[in-house]
Order: sequence, then structure tokens, then C-alpha cells
Amino acid sequence: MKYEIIDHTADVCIRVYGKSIEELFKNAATAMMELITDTGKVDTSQTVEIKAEGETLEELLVHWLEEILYIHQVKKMVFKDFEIINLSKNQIVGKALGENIDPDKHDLHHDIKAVTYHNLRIENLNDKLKVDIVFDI
Amino acid sequence: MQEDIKLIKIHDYLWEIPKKGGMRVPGRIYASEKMLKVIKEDKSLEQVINVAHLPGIQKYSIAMPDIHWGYGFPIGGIAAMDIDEGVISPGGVGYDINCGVRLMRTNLTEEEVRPKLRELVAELFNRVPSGVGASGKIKLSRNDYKEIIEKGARWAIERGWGEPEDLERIEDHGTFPGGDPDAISARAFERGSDEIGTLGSGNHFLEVDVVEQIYNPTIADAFGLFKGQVCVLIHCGSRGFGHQICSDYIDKMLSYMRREGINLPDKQLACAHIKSKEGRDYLAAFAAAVNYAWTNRQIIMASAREAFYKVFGIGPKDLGGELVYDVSHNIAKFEEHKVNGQIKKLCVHRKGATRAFPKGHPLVPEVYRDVGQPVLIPGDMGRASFVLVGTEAALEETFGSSCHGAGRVLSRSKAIKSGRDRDLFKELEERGIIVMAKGKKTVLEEMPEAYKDAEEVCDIVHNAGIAKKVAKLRPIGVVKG
Repeated sequence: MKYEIIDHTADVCIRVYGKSIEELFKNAATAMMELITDTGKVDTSQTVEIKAEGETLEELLVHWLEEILYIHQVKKMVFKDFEIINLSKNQIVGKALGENIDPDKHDLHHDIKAVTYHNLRIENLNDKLKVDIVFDI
Repeated sequence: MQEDIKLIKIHDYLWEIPKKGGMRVPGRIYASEKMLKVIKEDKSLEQVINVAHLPGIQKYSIAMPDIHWGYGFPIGGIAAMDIDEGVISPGGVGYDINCGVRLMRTNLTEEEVRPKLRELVAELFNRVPSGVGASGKIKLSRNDYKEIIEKGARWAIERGWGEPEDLERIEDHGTFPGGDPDAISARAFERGSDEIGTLGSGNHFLEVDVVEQIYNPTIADAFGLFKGQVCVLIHCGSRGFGHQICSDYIDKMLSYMRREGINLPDKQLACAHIKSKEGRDYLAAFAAAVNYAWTNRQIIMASAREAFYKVFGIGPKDLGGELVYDVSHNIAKFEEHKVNGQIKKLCVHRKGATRAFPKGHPLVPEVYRDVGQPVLIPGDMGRASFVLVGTEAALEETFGSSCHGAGRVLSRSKAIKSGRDRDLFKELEERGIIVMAKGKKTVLEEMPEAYKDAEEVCDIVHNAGIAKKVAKLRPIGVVKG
């Protein structure tokens, strides 16, 4: 399982899994986009480079997602797939594959105001990594 | 579940969490025994405890009966900080800086509006952009921003969106001082540039309501409300501009906390001392977003007036579309309050809480100084919303604060699941409520059953004395994002 939706009264919480940090970051981005729109209807005709920095791995994860959210909201794009090119403790370089929002094709379900730090901890779970992320809706 | 949190009963509507561990003050929750059972089902009481850890917090970490699990602060929480020793927390205001509610009265009655209700709701829906990523007709230049940051709602009125009298009925006359464009990131400007005059999505709305019941005729009369009257209730905030400012400053404050060695139970409580550079910079950016939100609600109200003029073929005088009041419920305010018998200047965080000042208070607008400040409590789209008035008890006990809404009980996913086979638009229409929305899912998420009954919440604050019921509003038309 890449992720699941966890009950949260006011906002939306996702529990993301990954075999590696790279996979965790990729799955978190995919999960966030799937909250926003039906990614089955998104073509990967455009590629956008995503760069983020952070003082801790948790902050890096929040900034990575915020960067994608920013491009989605300001450049009016939706994404289906993500690639991680380089990920260190304080820096990430990746790619988002998607297209411009077409109101006739893409239904937007959620207006994610922000990615929060609420109880955000990347944890080891046997052979995989796990993180809960709460989005402000 | 939070069964293990110890609660001491103070009276039928007030409970205390005693100080323990790193808590600097006790927690206090305004709730009935019945409502407490619902509150215990999520993690909000744990959040009341976490807030009690913040440096400089005075008296209590307070929660209202509409409290529910947020991030960092609970939604429905109040924390007042000493301005010398205390901190300001962007999460304690919320991402939607100065999210709030405004109520506009009219001279029209339900009888007069009902025959053209569908047309009216459609007109409102067309004039006020809503939904995920909604863009407005107004594109803000850097100079517009500069003026909005300085003037707040007055900027909109100078451009014809509203009347100068409106300013008398907004907290702080619609202008929050100290905003500084240099404290704001390019991204925040970019995100907010086409969103002014738009509702957004989630729990934001524009409603056509009818005054169904008057509890206090003298005060209702002072607020310009009468039974059977049609009103408009608007709920929204500072859109992407405020969201980005909050995100930017949480990061700055996490760095500050590492540097200063401040440890808190939840990172989302990120804060900085009010007098630090980070604290002052946040307040300068925050003030700008507060002004943006007031401008936003001002423009939306002006659009609502235009919709009435068009649909009913009447002018401003016949409509009587006067602003009753505009309250902020995601805010931090510098106010004077009594602590241990002494008057102190404090920074009061209201995260999902409404100011509720009594009659005679100098910060209550002159027009209401003899009766007290209107407190506006929106409910869900199927039941009722309420108008209350601030009290002396609120000033004594809760830093002049009261509840802010119904408070969610069902998560969004549970609401969607339980409503999958229902046609809410039809159900509500059968009850005389016309709903128009950009997103069908939003309507399911916002179904009446997803919320506590606002009436129960208002009864608790009324019985506890921290606000008094004035009027009940019943929705007949709803515009959602």
C-alpha cells in the first residue's frame, strides 16, 4: 500500500508508506495530487522540475509538497507522476509530470490550504517507512 | 479517544484540565457533559494541553464547546500571551488568517424573497466566484496590494464596493495597523493576486438566511434585526495570500525555536517571542493578511447587494442592505485584560473563536456600545446560525471570547461515505433550502450531519454566560465552493 486516508475531524490526514525515503517522498506527492483530482484523467505531457530544501528531513518533506502545491495553484497545473532525481538530508530535486488544468476534464476536489507539521514524524516500521501528514483544507 | 485526560468539573458548562508536566497553565473547556463525550472522541483535548505549554500564556488554555481536532492549536481555542515574555504562533491564528463572518441585514421579508429565491441564489452564485482555485475579476497590482495592506476594507469602499458606514461595523473599523509589504514573500503576493472577492471552498459559504426567532428584542432591534427578515451571511478569509504567509512564517519560527532552544509537544505550534524579529515580521505580514480578508468580505458583500438590486429591481434604500457586523475568528489581537487583578496588555490568539466584548467596552463600535458587540455563529447549511451578544463574563473569564461555529463531528471522508447515495441538493430543497455549489463533493463533506448542532453550542455559551443569544437565523439559500 502506498498510502491510506486517516480519519481527521476537520482536515485531511494521509498515512504514507515507502520502502525508501525516495519512495516515501514520491508516494506522498502522489497521494496529495490524488486528494486534489482524479489523476487517472491527467496526461503527462509536461514536466516541471521541483526543488526544495529543509533543515530536517520532515521539513524537507513539507517543503517538497508545498512546492508542488504552489505550482498546482499558481501555474494552474495538475500532476499524475513524480520522479526523484536527487535526495539528500537537506535538499531534493525531482520532477512532476502532468498538464495544465482543463476545467472540462479535471474536477478539483480539494483546495489544500497548506501542508502542516502537525504530529509529522518519519518513522521506521519494520522494513518500511511511514509518515502521517495533515493537510489544512 | 482521550479517556485518560483528567477533567475537573467547575460548573455544569465548564471543565478544567489541571496543570501537569510542562503545562504553564491549566486547560479550561466550556462544554456540557453531553458535548464533552463528543469532544473526547478526537484529539482536541490533547491539543488544549499542548497549547498550555506555550511561553507567556496567561491564566488558561481555553476551549469553546465547538472545539475539534485541528493541527497544533485545537479549532475553538483561545490563548492570551504576555507581550514581553510571550510568543506569537502563526498556527495559533491558522493558515486562513482573519477567516471570519459578516452579516448583512435587509428590509426584505421571506415572503417577498421566496418567489424569486432560485433566481437570487443563482445570481449570487454567478457574481461571487467560489470553488477550488476560484479566480476573481480583480487582478491586484503591487500598488493595489500596498494600499490594501495599509487601508483594509476602506480600499474596497474607496473603489465603490460598499459605503463608508460599513466601516463602523467591522472589528477595528476594517483596518489593522502595522502591515508591511516587505515582510511578505513574492509567493504570497502571487497566490493572492487573483483571489480577492472570491469565497474559496471547504467550509466557506455565502448564505441567504431568515430571522426565525428573536431571543432578546431590545438588542435585536439595536442590531437592526426583526422576525421574518432576510439576511446574508458570508464566511471566508484571506485566501492563498494568508495561507502562504502562515506557511512562510511557520518555517521561520521553526528555525527560531531551534536557535532559542524552545521545545514544544507539536511542531505545528511553532512560535517566536512577540518582541523578536521573527515575531515582529510575522505580525507585519499577518496584519496585511487581516486587511486582505476584510477587503475580501467587503467586496463579496458589495456583490451580494448588487445581486439583490438586480433580481428584485430595487435600489439601496429599498433593500436596506446594511452591514450588521463583521467578526474575525482566526486572529491574534493586542488587547487589555485583567490578570490577577491587574490590567495587562496581551496578545490574544483566537483560533476558531470570536471576540465577545460587552457593552461599554471601548473597542465595541460606537453604534453598539450601549448593547454590546454582535457575535456571529454560523451553523451548518441545513440547520440554524445564531447572533449573540458579548458579555462582561466573557471579558472576565475568556479574554472576551466566545465560540465560532458548530464544530465538525464527522471527518470529511466519513461524511462523503455516509452521503454517497444521498441527493443532498434535493433533500435540502425539500426543506426549502436552495443550494448551489461548484463541487458536489464539498456539499457532501459539509452535510448538516457532519457538524454539531450550532444551537447546542450556542446554548452552552449562553448558559455559561460568555455570550447571550439574540436571534436565530434559518438558511433558505446557500452558495458553496
